[in-house]
Amino acid sequence: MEKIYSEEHNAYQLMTTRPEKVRFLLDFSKAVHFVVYKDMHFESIMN
Amino acid sequence: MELQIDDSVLVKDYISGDEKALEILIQRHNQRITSFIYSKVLDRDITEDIFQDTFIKVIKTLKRGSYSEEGKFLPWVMRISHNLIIDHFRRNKRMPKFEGSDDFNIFSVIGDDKLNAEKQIIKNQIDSDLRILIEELPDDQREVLLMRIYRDMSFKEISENTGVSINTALGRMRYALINLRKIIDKNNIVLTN
Repeated sequence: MEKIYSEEHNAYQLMTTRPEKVRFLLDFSKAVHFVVYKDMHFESIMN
Repeated sequence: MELQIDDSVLVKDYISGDEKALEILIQRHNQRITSFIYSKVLDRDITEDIFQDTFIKVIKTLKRGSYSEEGKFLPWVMRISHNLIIDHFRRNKRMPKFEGSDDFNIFSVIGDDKLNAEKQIIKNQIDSDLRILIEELPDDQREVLLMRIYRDMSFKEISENTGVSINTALGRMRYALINLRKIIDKNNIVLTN
């Protein structure tokens, strides 16, 4: 595992995640909700 | 010159319900995080997946109110992606990836050992038919066959249990099989799977 982080990769390049992925995350953020009941977190996703 | 809102302020805004704040955070750090992930995994699709999983964790943590690293948003996100990269490599180490080519398809040489539903039904039917045929055998032969096949006993154990010699047990087993074949032939029974 240490090799992965110690080796310099020549292929290092600047890039960004595709806009549709960002859009998905923003939609996910709007859809996900947490309800707390007696110190327990319940996750719900509303479409 | 436009003033840049600090990450910590955007995080607070997002926790307070301002979804736009998240968009600014993602756009602001998109290139740095994506490039970091790609520099390790060197695969565009895997990079996208890890980026997505990273921010799903970020979103859930912030929405749950579990975030407690004010002012250190980027290092925290980078640490999450770093952990997911490690998970990715661990998973791949456990499950080596094999990519087939046009000449060779791995699925042509490996298969699922489990029977599918249809074959399982057929096997159950054969087992059931066989038990009926075994009932037709003489008692001494049936006894030896049941001990050997269904209870997986050795002929030594069978001889001890039935009080006959090993040779007698072997002989009874032989005749049991011969007689079973006769019954099958006589009744034109087909046992296949």
